[in-house]
Amino acid sequence: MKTWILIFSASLVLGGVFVLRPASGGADDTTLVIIAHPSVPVSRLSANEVRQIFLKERTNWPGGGKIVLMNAKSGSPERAAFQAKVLGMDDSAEKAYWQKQKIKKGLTPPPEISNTQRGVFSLQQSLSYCLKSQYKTGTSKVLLTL
Amino acid sequence: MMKLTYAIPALALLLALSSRTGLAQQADDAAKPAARSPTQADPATAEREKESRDNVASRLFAMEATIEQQSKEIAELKAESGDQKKKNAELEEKLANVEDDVALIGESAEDVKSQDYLSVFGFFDLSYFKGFWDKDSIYNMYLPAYGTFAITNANIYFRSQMTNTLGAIAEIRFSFLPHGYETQYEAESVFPDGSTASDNRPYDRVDTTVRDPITTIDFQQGGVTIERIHLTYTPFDWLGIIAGRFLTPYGIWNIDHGSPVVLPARIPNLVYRQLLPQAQTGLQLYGRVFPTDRIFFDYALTLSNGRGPTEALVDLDENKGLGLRLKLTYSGRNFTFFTGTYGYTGEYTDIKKRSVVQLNPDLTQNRDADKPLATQLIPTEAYREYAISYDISFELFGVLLQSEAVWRRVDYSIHPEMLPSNAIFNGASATDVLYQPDYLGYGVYVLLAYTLPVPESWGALKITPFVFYERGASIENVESTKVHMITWGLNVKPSPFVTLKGEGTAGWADSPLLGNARNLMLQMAVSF
Repeated sequence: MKTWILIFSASLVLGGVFVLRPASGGADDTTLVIIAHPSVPVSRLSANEVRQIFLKERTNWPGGGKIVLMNAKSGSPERAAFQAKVLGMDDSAEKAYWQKQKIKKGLTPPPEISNTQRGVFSLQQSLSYCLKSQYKTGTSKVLLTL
Repeated sequence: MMKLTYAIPALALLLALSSRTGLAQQADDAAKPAARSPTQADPATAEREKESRDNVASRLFAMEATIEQQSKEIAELKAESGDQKKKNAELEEKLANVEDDVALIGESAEDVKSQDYLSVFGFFDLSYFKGFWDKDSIYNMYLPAYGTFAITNANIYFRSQMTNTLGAIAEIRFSFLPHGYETQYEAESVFPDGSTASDNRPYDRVDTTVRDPITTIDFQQGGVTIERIHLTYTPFDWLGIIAGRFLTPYGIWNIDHGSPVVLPARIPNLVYRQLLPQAQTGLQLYGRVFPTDRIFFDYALTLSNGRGPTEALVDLDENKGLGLRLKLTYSGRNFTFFTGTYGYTGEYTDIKKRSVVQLNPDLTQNRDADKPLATQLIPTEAYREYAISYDISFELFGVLLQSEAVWRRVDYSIHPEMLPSNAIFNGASATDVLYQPDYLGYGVYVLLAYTLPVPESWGALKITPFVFYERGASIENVESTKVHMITWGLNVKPSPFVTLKGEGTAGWADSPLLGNARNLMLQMAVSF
């Protein structure tokens, strides 16, 4: 009898451990934040607006002022997340898009820098993105989380 | 009586014992050195000693209290010092990070700015063309039927974004022309009896071969064309200005225009016949507004020299070309739709110049005349034109359907002679001189394409079969310009930078003199 009680209790404990344990890995590692310099005259952007901006279908902030864009380095995790979640393109599709835009309108892709947070911190009217896990509060304002 | 009897000896015994004790004590005391009883010592000294001992004790107690207090304070100070050190260490770390940030700020800003100062890029293509027509076919006038490789495009772009709102672009096209350009054909008339007549005009072709006198190497000089060159000022999305030579903002093909961008290798009839001018020199106001985050509306207003034999260099009349572009776009991740129109009107004038000198009978200059020296501008051809284009495109999950149409009306004020080739197709003889009447022209095409889904492991590869039908009559009253053409082919992009095209075209002309024609075209287009 005692043995059965022991077994039953152990199984309750173990079951509680598996049910109640925290989700592995915590938050999604590809969660992206769209960040902007505090001088930017908007407080929120939709995913489609961000897409249009980074594809240079929109080039100015409402009320004037050129949007200063920065991309993360090609091949970086934040760049891959941005391509998937915002642009809906992989790396080669994005390259193909910019080859077309160069010939049609002479447009070139946004410049790439190694640290987008520092870039946004330093340049007025700038817009970029980074992984939420790497975002340092106070360095820029967040316009969208994906 | 009895009790007293016992009490008395008990008392006695007690007295004895105490005495004994007292005697013993006295004996003990006697054994010791005689101590000075305090009551027997100097009262003042005793008092001083007592006071001294008390003072020492109280001072000792005070010192102990002070030591304890100071120990506490030292402990607190040590604790504070430990916290301060920790804070100092954190501040030093932050300072180091800020110094790094400051150093990198300059790098980031310069990084971003330098990547946009000047860009050089371009495209070129290598085509293989093979016509399938008789060796005597009229199509030999355009290209002989034997297969040929050709560099059909070689364009270099120079682009700079000088400030946030000011940019410039130049697109330069290099060509092997004019070397090899045919300027004149021999002409022969044949009569039913077999006799012939010729105007004795020799066949002529441009030859730009030159020899370097030092190396003695022969080479052919080619040409350079400025496709576009203009300044762009864009203070707002809704308002921008272009000044210079710009591509006419109509349709789809004229904007896309580069061989790596367009799907087929063949250019539509309505584009190469220039039912609307390919480019204009002047000013353009343009802008884009966003009613929603998926829909945007474009406009462009053009003011230019319009068309003319030298419009890129100088306009030969006062009248300017005016155009208006309107376009609506729905842009989503998997579905894109747009539709637009462009309306244009302008005057075309060609002139010749004549210098007139007033002379006296003795051939000296007559300076008394009203205009001793004059240069007359004599128009040789003039018309006003009206044109309108329409374009539409759907792109959904890899399926592309696009169509363009242009209608053009030309009203002459000075009719030119009809081109001999056109006159012949209209039934003129070799000696007839016909004048070009007013005309309508149009062109329309429909393109259907589907980008095949490919496994992810195939990487950047894109395979797009397409079919492309068009109907055109660039000058409706000239039979030779009325054609139907259908092209089917495959567009393959093994990488974003290389496009391979293979297509076959079958054409039917309304004129029985032209007949049908077929051709094969292969093309490799490279963008860099």
